[in-house]
Amino acid sequence: MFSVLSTNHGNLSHNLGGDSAIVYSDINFYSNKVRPFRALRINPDNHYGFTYYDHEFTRNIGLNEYTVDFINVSISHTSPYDITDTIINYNGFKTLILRPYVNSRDNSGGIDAHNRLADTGAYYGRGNFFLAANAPMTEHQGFYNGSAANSLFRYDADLELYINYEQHVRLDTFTKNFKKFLKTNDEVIIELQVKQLITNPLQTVHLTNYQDADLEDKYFSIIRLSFHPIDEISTLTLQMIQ
Amino acid sequence: MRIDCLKYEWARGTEDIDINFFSSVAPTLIETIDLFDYYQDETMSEIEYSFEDVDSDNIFYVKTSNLSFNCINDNLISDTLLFDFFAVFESNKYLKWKLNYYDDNDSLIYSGIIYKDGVSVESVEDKILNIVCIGYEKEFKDYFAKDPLKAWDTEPVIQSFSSGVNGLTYLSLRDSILKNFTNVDFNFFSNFYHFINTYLCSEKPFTYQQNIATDPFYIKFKDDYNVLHLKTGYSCYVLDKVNKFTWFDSFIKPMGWIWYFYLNKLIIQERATTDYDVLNIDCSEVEVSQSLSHRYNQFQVNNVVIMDGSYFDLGYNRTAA
Repeated sequence: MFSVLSTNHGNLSHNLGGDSAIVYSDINFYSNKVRPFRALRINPDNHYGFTYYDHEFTRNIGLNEYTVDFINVSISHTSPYDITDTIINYNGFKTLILRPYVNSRDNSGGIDAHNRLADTGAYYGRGNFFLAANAPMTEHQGFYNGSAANSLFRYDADLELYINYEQHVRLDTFTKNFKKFLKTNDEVIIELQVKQLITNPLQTVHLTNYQDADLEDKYFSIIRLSFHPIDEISTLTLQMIQ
Repeated sequence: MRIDCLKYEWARGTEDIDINFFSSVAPTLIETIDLFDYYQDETMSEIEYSFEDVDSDNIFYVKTSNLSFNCINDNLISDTLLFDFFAVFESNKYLKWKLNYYDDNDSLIYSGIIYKDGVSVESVEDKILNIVCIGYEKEFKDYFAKDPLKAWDTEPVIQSFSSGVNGLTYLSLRDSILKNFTNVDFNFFSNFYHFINTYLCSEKPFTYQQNIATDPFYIKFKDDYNVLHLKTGYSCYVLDKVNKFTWFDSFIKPMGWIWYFYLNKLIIQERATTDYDVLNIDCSEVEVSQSLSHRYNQFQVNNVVIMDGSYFDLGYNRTAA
């Protein structure tokens, strides 16, 4: 399913499957696209065709968790494709690895390109099925597993679109959420100690009369709060959010 | 100012997993005292909410909000001796204590749990006890890390897709959470506009491309090619027999959300949130010191990598890392 003919590999079949990794970095290139196919195409025989051209995605190539392969498939629509591998070795000491639970391969889902409309038997809908329910694998089937975040989606009323985890990891909200972990030059972090008892971390902070800069139109998220309930001194670490 | 300490005991013979405030097995309230009557001056620690941390091996973990202080065994106000209240010389695994800290305005400013091993005798001669109170995060994890994820429940199933996406069943994420964490008070429960209430949770993995030409109810996905691709579903984790905490952590962490307890309520929020009411701090009046930097010194990394499963087929028959 995920195999394509590649000019870079002697016109032989090259499999685009493998382990997926979402990346957020301040020094290395990343795309946060992980699926190895570009799109699905509905063929007249009601099969799915998978398209791979003009596509880029990232995968972990399994040497270790710090090695990511950024793959670019050529723009040409016709096979064999020109596939560019850019291997990035992250410095393990400067990389935070998150390992959310990933469901087992046995209980992974799959899509059968030759049964696009199948809704019965081992298929629970539109060619989708659990690996264990439809063994053995065929060459027309592709499988995937991941964290539970990959089961979530929402309707964005402003965009009038459904958004899943694939899209979520490319939104500003996602990068903002991970920005505090990185050494960046475009982030403003303020640590402030005040003679005031602030006990509630569920607040957005606005600073007035800050001595070093005009922050009147800026707002901050609390990323650390400590307070002494008797001395009534509070220390806040604040991340500028707008 | 007062520090209410509530002593609870579970019935003898209660299963170890149920000796927990999140269990359906309720303990008996034995006694409540004000620890401020016993407080030894200048021993109070700070209370800190830092939510999470990374250890020296770059392992990420959730931090509890803790409080510690010393108390003296007896006083002129109360007849209760702390050695007895905390059963210092008794071996009893069925005891736990809740602590609620109120400020001078009688507002609750901190709550946590005191475990038996959180009480130590600093000085037998001077009858001084050191008390460590731990945030509810530990109690939550201890209980739900041993509680299996519930099977997919069909009520109430939302069935708003009418476009021929047969087989795509889902619940709101809100219901999926509440069905599993029945004794937990979540911040999104009473806030209709909380982002958790906008999310849906698919029962099964699903990949789908609509046929624009024939489908009258065309649904759009934020995908360059309008592919709906859900790599996993709730049932994958039920089939794997994972516990509730593992499932919870498996979507909180990769989404970039954080969780912690604040005043007995479990808070889920975006790590960098703009959702809360604004607190204005006038630096000219209250500021003691300040520093500004371009990074959060707690962390020193250049990359965040979230391991996200795998793609495989007949030709790439690999397991996930």
